[in-house]
Amino acid sequence: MMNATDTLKYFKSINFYPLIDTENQDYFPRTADMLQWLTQLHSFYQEALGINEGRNMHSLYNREISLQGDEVMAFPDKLIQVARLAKSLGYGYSLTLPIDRFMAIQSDLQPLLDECLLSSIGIVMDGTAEQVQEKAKEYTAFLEEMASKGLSIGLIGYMEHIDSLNLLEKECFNANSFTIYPMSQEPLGSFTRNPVTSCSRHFRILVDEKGLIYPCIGLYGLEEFALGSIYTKMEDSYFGHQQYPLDLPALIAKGPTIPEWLLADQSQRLTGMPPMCELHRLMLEASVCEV
Amino acid sequence: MESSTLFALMHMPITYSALVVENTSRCNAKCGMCYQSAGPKGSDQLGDHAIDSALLMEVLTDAMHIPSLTKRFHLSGGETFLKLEDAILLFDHARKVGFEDITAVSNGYWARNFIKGIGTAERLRDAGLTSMEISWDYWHLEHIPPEAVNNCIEACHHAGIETNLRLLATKTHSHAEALAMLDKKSVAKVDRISCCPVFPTGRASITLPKEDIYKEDNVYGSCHTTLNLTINAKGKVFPCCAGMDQTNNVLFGDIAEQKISHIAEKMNASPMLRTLVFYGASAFIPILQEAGIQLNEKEHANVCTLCWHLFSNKTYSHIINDYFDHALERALDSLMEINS
Ligand code: SF4
Ligand code: SF4
Repeated sequence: MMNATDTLKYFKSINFYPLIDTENQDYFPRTADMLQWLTQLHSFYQEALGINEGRNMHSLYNREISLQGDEVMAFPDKLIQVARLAKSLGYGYSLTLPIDRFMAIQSDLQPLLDECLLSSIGIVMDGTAEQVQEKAKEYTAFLEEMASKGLSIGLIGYMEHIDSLNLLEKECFNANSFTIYPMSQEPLGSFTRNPVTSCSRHFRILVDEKGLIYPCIGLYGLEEFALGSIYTKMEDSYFGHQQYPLDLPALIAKGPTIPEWLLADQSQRLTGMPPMCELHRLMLEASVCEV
Repeated sequence: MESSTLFALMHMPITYSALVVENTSRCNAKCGMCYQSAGPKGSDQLGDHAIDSALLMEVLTDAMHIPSLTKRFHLSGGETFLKLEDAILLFDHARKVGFEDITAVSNGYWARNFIKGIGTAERLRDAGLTSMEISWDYWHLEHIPPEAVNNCIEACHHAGIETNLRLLATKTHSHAEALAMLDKKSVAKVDRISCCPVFPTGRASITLPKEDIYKEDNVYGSCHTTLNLTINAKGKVFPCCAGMDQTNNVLFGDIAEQKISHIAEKMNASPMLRTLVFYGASAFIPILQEAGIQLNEKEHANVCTLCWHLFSNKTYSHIINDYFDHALERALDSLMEINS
């Protein structure tokens, strides 16, 4: 039977969603606190999974740290500190930003590229058709340059925009591998039938601006379901066997139990998160309200 | 050799992101770029083969004992949905034994009739399929109508199966050309589109003009971060489904003779395989040179096409295998020289 510590191997990705503190020229949570916690997490991960004794070494593969949010490039030097630590601990490092933000900070990206600190980038193109047409030349030049850098690229956007830039006709987008995550202009529609799968594909550690850590995007921001905090020891988190309201091993094995009546509900989806997560969150929010 | 590569070579377990099963070498199509050289009569390279599902169910159960295997099961062919009932049986079994992610690849032919496609997608989802890769490009068009691919996307979307549209391109046939053949509304419903250049392996190496294929100009990489434990349609086991699985001259194990968990253990201990995945196929170039064979690295598009080229060739494979079969003796020999 899997225990709380064993579940740690499912949490290979760490996503920070920091806010910026212009007054102190730093993030919430503070960069120093992020660095300290990442170091602590890495030691705990190695210890808990027996990596120090030569067991479960495969769990070191495919781990990644990412910082998300429009303003994460506000303090490039701090971002580089996190990236350097990520690399030294054997994590990949990725950035996801709207294309305009990426272009605005292109020179700040250079040190990250020079030191090979970036393993992948996510470029979001969610502007209007007019905005894309207006900047078509600059966008194309920027995307072509990124595609030629040998980074793993994810393009997140409306297919209309990607088509209008003729990106998929360009040599560099045919000669290199990359992934498109199409966004849809259409309404999300109703919930799909049989949406429940293992939660393992969605598990990652998400850190909010208060330093609270969550197991997946569906539970992000619901403080009752935080696994712990970056300000306390890992031993004092869920992974150190602290009480937790959800059964994570069961969620890994078969996903959440969603009542038939809710599954049969034909109402429209409201978020872009996986349908089972939207339903699970709805259930949990309702139960929290009842409490 | 860099010290980090040496450390990995000595200590890291060979790690797999999925168990890939190619349960048939037959395909209803016969596309020009197919790395598996699949067709209605089986594979041009490997012949006409299929694996019995009862045996595969045993394999799935045993595979749960492989510690370095991520619990993802991926079913592939040829065109695996030519054997729809087998696929359903395997997905259901994979879910029961504890695979957390169950995926497949298809050309989508089975959704040509939309209503039937919906029914099939619902059955696949109910059996446990979580994600479908749909292959589409210029070369599929001769065999698969675009409507079937549109329907396949829509049917999977309806049934709650994630979709990954897989596009391939050469210099004359771009991703744009492939996408333009599909319905925009359907394309907007896929979860992702994976765009890659064609590799000059399998049928592509014979039917496509060399100069039309993009080259990475780097045959020096390694592949230990991108491996999948793969069973080809002959039941032979390989470390990936990137080309080596379609070769005939290296044997790591056969699922009809040994348990997959034992085969994976043997593979992890194989000095030849460890050199290949942690150092890269280019490590074999000096071995071949010593045997008087000069290879032009520049001819190969990337590390996997070099690997495929080496292990598709009987003589090269024999020299490489022979070198590693005698590596221990040579090592002992030189140790004795040092001591004397
Ligand atoms: S179903 Fe719930 S626990 Fe599972 S990933 Fe989604 S939100 Fe998280
Ligand atoms: S180099 Fe060879 S073993 Fe490695 S992924 Fe490529 S084809 Fe497979």
